[in-house]
Amino acid sequence: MSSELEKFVNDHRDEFDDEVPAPALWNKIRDRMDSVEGKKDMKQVSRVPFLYIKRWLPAAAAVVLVCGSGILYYILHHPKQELPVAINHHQPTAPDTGKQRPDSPREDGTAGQTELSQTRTDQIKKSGEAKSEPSLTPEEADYNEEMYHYTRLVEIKQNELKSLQKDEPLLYKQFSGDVNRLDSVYHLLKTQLPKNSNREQVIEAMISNLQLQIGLLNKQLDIIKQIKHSKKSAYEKAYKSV
Amino acid sequence: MLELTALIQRDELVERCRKGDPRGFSELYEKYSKAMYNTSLRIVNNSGDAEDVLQESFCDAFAAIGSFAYKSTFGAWLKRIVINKSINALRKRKMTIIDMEKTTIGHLADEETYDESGIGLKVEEIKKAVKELPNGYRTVLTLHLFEGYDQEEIAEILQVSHVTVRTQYMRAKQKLLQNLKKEGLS
Repeated sequence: MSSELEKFVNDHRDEFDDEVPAPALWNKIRDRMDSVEGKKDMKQVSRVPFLYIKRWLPAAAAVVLVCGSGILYYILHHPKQELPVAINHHQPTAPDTGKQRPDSPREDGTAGQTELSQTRTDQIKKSGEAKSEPSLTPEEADYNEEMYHYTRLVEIKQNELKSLQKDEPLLYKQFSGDVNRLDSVYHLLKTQLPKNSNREQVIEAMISNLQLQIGLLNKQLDIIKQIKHSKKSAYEKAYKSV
Repeated sequence: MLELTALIQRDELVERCRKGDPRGFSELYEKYSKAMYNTSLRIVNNSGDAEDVLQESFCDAFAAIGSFAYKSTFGAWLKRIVINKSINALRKRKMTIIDMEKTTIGHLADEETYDESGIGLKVEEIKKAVKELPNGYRTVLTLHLFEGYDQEEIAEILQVSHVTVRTQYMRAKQKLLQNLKKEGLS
């Protein structure tokens, strides 16, 4: 099918491509690409978690900040009661200090917590610590039980969080770092416990620390659930659009 | 023919886009948009439709760049997308290839004799004469004359037989030469 016409077109091929599209066209294409970013390709999908980490980091940081300052407030707010205690701890610790506190200013709160823990007596499983201390008052036994319950909860939730380690190592590092900071405070309190004559207060601080840990872990698990959900829906969207 | 090149080199620009480099996409657009626009314009014959086709084609190509498998060059792949979308745009306007049979020169002999004498070939005149062709003729003619596809490829693109492509091309070319002669005389 070769002829003069074909030869001429071949020789002048570039001159035939002289029309230009409207300059605004690229902007339209770019806008459309931005709006369908998620479904573009698998590489894009794998970038999604990083976006979410970025978005959730401030939230996680805020949770830690609130928890941390709560603990700090708690510790700083009771130095008046702990101060004489600190002086006291040179003397041999009386085994029944808990009983000898008829004028405790925090009696109401203590009673409330005792009641709360009594409702859980059916799942009693005294920790080793409780058994090794023969000097425990009934109140302290309740505390121990409560503490055991919370420690178990924290453990369960931490294990749940560990499943994240494979999928989101970066996020896991952040999260476990936050929890560890709280946990180190807990261990600090725990080391103070034997030295401190005002055991009840330290135990309460430990329990509220554990409660904060649980709260933080719950928030972190919520965040993970949301990330997983949005990842799944992004995937489904991409899948449907293929 | 570009498409038959045995070994296709990995396109660095394409690889950058696959890694999510946003500048890569704008560079691909810069590189191909003009040629693709003219290809579409020759088929759909109006700038609005050609721009729509261009937009759709680039969006589709960018969205599917992850699955581009170097069976051809990126340019050839993109061109096929543009051509398919251009033909679809034509069909949406209810212009079918079959209509060609009913055109006024349908009775012309199917022989490969063209009277090209006395025709001064000029780019502008050819462009104008192509624009005046009926849709079906114009499509077959541009796919071969400008885009370089052979009969078999055009038959596959248009979903018609090789024979149809061959006769349509010959008739289209005769009509084009008639138009060019008319231009020359006026």
